[in-house]
Amino acid sequence: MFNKYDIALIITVVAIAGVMAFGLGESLGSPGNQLSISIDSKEYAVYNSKENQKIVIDLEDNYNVIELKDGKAKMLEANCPDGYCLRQGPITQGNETIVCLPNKMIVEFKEKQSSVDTVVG
Amino acid sequence: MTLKRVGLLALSLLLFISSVSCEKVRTEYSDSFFGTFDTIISVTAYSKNQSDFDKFKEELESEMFEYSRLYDKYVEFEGINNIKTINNNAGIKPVKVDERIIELLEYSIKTNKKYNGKVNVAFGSVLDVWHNYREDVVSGAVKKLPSLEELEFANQYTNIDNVIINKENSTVFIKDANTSLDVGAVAKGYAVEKIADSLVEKGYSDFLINAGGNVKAVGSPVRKNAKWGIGIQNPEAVKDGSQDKLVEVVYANDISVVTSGVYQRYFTVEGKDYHHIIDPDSLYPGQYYQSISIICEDSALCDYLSTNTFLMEPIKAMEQINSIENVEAIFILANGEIVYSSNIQKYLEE
Repeated sequence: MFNKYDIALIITVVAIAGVMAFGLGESLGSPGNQLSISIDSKEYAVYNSKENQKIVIDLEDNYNVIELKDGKAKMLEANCPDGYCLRQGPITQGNETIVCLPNKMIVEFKEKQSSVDTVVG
Repeated sequence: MTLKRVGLLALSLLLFISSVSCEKVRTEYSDSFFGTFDTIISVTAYSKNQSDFDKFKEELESEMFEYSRLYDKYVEFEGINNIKTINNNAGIKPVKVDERIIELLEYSIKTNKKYNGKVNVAFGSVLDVWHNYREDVVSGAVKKLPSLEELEFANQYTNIDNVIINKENSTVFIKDANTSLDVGAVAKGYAVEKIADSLVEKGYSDFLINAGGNVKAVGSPVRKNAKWGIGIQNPEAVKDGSQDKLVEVVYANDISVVTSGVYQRYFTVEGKDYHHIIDPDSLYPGQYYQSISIICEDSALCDYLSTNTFLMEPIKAMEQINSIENVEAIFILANGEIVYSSNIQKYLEE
């Protein structure tokens, strides 16, 4: 019925389709329950949001303490002059961020709600 | 089915798959940067690869940087004349400035006349009083509000007719020494609009810029539901975090959403918060709303209207919005009630 070339062709097609589907699936996949902290647009650290913890960031100019508890993140302490970050949150999922503008810090969950690209306000 | 047919079928399948994959080849990239317009700029774009996205982000960042320095009223920069340079030369001499300053001032003045509005770019002296108190209270130096006398004194020097724009020579002259410019109500939205236009001219498409409360979304995201989703922050949740974070999600293509809110810049005296949107009649922060979000294609107009309506009482403000074609709004009143403009529904469906 099929000669070996036909079979090779069919296998190739199926293999390519499989790779495409996998690649597409992966690009849409979720990065899981990770809390990301970035400073001046560079990722500083990533934490497992399932683990309750107090994250202390004590750098030359920045001092921030972030509490991770029951999947929620909240800024507990900050050495910034305005303290706006202390009054944000707690945040529970992607698209929500805590921004400490003076310390150039962003706290956010990596998992995004798929249909919301950004939040204004 | 003959072997040839199977072969042809397989080939066409292969071609089909590869053509589909070519369309899907752009992926979503996101990044953010600080250092312009005193806020954080977040950007999402659909690019072919990381280096294309980085190039796009660099172009955006360098344009934001230029506009931000031109429209700055607090800091002067070597080699450029900006809003602060104009203010420093009030009552002294005309200042030669970049055409982007002339255009912004003309746009602001023209738009405010058109809507008989409350956004005066010559309101700098009063806004300065509030700015200084906010800085001092936030830093702990004082714990009080400006007095009405202080504000009324400053308000004597807010006449827009003292701002002389000479387009031919590209100069701006403030005739009165005590009068000063503040373009804070319109500058960011205007800059974002111009920058988005210029990026489109350079061949970029399908990107979203969020400049601290000022969203401009161009084209569409590359995914099944090809609309951008822009969440409107719940003001209550910003302050105590206990409720739903979003009051609504706006879904659209080629759209701008700008929010003015009481929680963006404020300070607290005796347990009461005082925000940064100052009513030119009372000289105190506007009292009617927690936030106003304006939805229309032009980010400059959105920015202007979000401040202007914030200072109008809700019925009149909504009348104004409903009278402008292709402009929609979501008002969150001081008591928490949410009011929508008449044709908003098309934006609330995914």
